[in-house]
Parts: sequence; structure tokens; C-alpha cells
Amino acid sequence: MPYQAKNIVVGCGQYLFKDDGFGPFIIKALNDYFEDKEMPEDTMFIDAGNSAPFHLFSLPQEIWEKIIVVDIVLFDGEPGDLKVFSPYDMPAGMFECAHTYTVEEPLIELAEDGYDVKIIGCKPGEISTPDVEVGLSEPVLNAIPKAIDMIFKELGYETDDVVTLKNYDI
Amino acid sequence: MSEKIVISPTSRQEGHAELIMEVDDEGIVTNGKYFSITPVRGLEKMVTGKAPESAPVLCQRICGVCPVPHTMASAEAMDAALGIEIPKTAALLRELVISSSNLNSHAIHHFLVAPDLIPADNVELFKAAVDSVSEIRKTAQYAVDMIAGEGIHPSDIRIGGMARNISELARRKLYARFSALVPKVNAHVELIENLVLEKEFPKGLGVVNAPVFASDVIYGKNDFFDLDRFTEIVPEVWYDDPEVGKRACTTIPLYDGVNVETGPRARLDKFAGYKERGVTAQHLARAREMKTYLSRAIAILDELDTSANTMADFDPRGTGELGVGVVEAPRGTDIHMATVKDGKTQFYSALVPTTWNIPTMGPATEGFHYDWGAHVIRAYDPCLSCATHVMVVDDEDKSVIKNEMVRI
Repeated sequence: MPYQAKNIVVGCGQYLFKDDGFGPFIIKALNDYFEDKEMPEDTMFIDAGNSAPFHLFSLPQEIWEKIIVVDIVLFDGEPGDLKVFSPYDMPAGMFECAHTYTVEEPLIELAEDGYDVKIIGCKPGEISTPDVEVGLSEPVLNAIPKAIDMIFKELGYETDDVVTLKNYDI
Repeated sequence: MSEKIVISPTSRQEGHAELIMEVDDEGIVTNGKYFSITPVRGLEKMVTGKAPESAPVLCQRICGVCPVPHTMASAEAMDAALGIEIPKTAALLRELVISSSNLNSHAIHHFLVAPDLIPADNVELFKAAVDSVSEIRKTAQYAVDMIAGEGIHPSDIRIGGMARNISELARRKLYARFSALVPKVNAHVELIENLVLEKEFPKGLGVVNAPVFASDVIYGKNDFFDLDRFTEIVPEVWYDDPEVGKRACTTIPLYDGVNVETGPRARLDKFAGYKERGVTAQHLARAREMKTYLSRAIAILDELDTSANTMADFDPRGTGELGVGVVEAPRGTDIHMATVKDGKTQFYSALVPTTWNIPTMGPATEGFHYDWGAHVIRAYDPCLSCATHVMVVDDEDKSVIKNEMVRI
């Protein structure tokens, strides 16, 4: 089965809508960084795009232990601010994803089934919907190294390297 | 006296749409209008002016549910625009990917309609149905992951064919895995068929007499689509209510001047002589297709030459000729069109399955009580594409500051 790893880091969002691409671009930065290095043990980085509720969270694998979701989240603060959320921080039943899987309820279900679910949220600067625009706003782009540090901390991976996004070619 | 019943958005489907039903004193629908309220995103404009290779990668993100068929239709359109004939083995691998992906997608639909078909107090049956859906979906996703490079956003579907063949070991593993899935899919299809028949939808519910629109039993045939037979009209002209015309987000595609029906039942109607119509027929056709996809996938794996080339050499500069890519997506015929000149995409257009069905689904609700309206829509499994999601939450008290998603 695909997505077999103890730790999965899942980048969510639509990269065609500016800062909504934060999650997918984090996954790109991580994959590029580890291209010539040994990956953190038993870990997968997954660009789930808009598909996470349909094609990932609703098909849990027994091997999973830690699920780190990376996405934009609107909360009090400045664009580019980062914060770790639990699925329970999201109000249940309020936000319906298009296929009526809610965005957060699969995560709550996963948490209740014993998976360790963390959401690393970045406050967006600009979401261009409905206009298509690829590229992150400056504060969100600048938040990438810190967000990756937070992911590394969750994974117990140690490095002094500053990991940045090299380009937007997904 | 006529009354209006509005369901907005219609639920357990992909994307946001509205159903307006005018009903008589008995609640019988006399006029049904179904239209998309998902904003237009203009992906076609973004693809234009870029290298042709950009199109499949960007079109992959049209929708979170169907990344695979859109990538495929885009690659097919570009192949045609560049005059490429892909190697036979690449064509087989592509068909294998679509068979697997469509099997997965039909199973998702069963998850969405399970609450309609299974009595709420039968928790055990509901769990059995959902578990069955999950097992089928995981195996299908595993196949897409192995053949096309990635399970969600496949990276190996390329202009000119497939980036690489699969190994002999992978072929054997997939063959074994899919063969073992046969009894599971057979049991699943039987379960769904029985649930649909036991539901006893009213006879004639959801029947429309629109011509069927389908290019192939499984994969899709590019020469099916004749641009001269296609017209597109604006919603203001199609809908008899000017307000609806203004709010509807898709144009109305017509073939030979009329609206059509596309999807599993249309495919079976055209290629297998299945002439039943309506809600029950839609569900039964979709279930039946799952067996067809699985047996075709096993047959392809049986004959696949894993040592064969899977990429054609091609000139990416293009000639300006229109290339049409036609793929039979789970919900119907997905058509992407492109022209390429001097190495850049000059024109791009995507006519996605549900766009064809939109003008057909509204009238399909007519003649029955409005309570059945949502069942009719769900039977056609519309997919109006989704895009972004935004959570706007007060950090302190968790209240919702701004709801940019639709509550159902």
C-alpha cells in the first residue's frame, strides 16, 4: 500500500492560489533538501494538494503513528506566523469540504483512533482565489525555514541547516 | 399554486451546486434547475503561453478528487497537439492507471451514497460497506502509486507516454494483489446492487431521454469528439430564470444542439446495450463498471511487456493543429483540447464530465416528489471541482470569524 511509514508529513492546499500552496511547497522544500541526504527514519513527505480528506485521511494505514499536517490556518497574528494546533482546536462540524468530508473531522477521528495528529498552521498573507497565482507572499515564504524546524522537532531530527524553498516547480 | 424548493448546496457530491425545484400542490417537481455555484478558476488561461509540459502538471490540480483523469486527458490532448503516437505499452499502462483510478472513485461514490441506501439503525451493515470501500480504494491507490509514480498526483504520466515502465516484480505483485481483490469487488458490487434494489426507488425516478455521450468502455478515444458537433451557450440563455442564469458558473455544452448524459450508465448504454435509465440504473451501472475495471486491469497486467519502451520521441514545438484528448473519467467523458506552436501552448480548454451532465440533471428531478431531488442528483455523482479551503477561527474562543466554506 502507498504511504507506508510511521511518520507522515502531509502538505495540504492548492498551490495555484498563492499562499494556499504553503503545505505543498513545504513538502517540495523537504524533498529537495533530502535528495542527497538520508531521510529521517521511517518518514514520508506527502504533497496531498486538495486531496488529503479524500485520498489520505480517509484511508488510514495501520503503520502510521505520527501525522503532521502542514496547512494555512487563519488565526490571530501576522501573515507568516506559525502555530501548532491539535485537531480539537478546529471547531467540529463548521467547515465542510466539498465532498462533505469535513477538513478537520477525519483528523479528529484519526486522533481518536490513537494516531498522534499535529497541525502546523501558517497564517497566510494572500489567497488569490478565484485567480490563479503561483508563489507565496514574502512573509509566508520566509516562514518556511521555521516551519521546517518545527517539523524536524516533531520528528526528532536534528540539524543546524536552514532549509529554504529553492523554486516553485512542483 | 407553485412553490420553489431550493437545495443549496446539494450535498454528498464534489463541489458546490444548487438545485431549484418548482413544485405543485402535491410537492411534485414540475421544473428542475441544477447549476454550479463553484467559482470559475480560469486554469486554461494559466496554461496558455507556457511549455506544453506544464499543462498536465497544472491540470492535475483542477480537482482534489480526480487528479488522475485530468492529468491523463491533458497528456492525451498534448500528445495529439504534438502529433505523437505513444508506444503500445505506454497506452496499456495509461489504461491500467485509469482502470485503477476509476475503480477507486466509484468506491468513493458508494461511501457517499451509503447513508441513502443503508437504514440508519443498521450500524453493522454501514460499517461493512465502508470497510469494503476502504479496502478496494487502498488497493486501487496502491496500483496508481506503483504504475504512475505517486498515488495522489501521479508524476509519471508524461507527454509522449509514461516516464517509465514497471518492473517485472511490480507487475507480478500487482497481478497478485488485483487477483486477490476479485472476490472482494464481486461481493461489494453484489452488496451495492442489493442495497439499491431494496431501496425501491420509484419507477421512472431520474429518467431523462438525453442522448448518451461516451467514447469508450474504459479508457477513452480521442477521435470520438467532433468539434463541429459541439456548441456552448451561456447560462443566461439556457435557464428560463434570469437570476439563475446570472449565478450559474458554467456554460452549457451541447452536442448536436442538445444536452447529453455522460457517465457509467451512458457508457453501458452505448457499448453494452444497457437501456435502463434513471436513478436505479445509474447506481447499478456504476457498480457493474467496477468489475469491468478490475478485470481489464488484470488482463493488462497479464499481457504487459515490462521490458518495452514507454516514451515516444517527439518534437515539442508543435504545429498549431488542435489536439483533442478524451478520457473516460469516473463521472463521464473528460475532454481536454490544446494547440501548441513554437513550443508554447496557444489555446487550452477542458470540457469536464459534470459540465455535460449539468443541464441534464435538473430536468431529471421532474415528475416526482421533491424529497427525491437530492437522490436524483447524487445518482449522477456530479463533480464540480473543488479548490481551496480556509479555516477562519478565533484563536482564543475557537469561534468562527469568517466562514468561507459552504455549510451543508
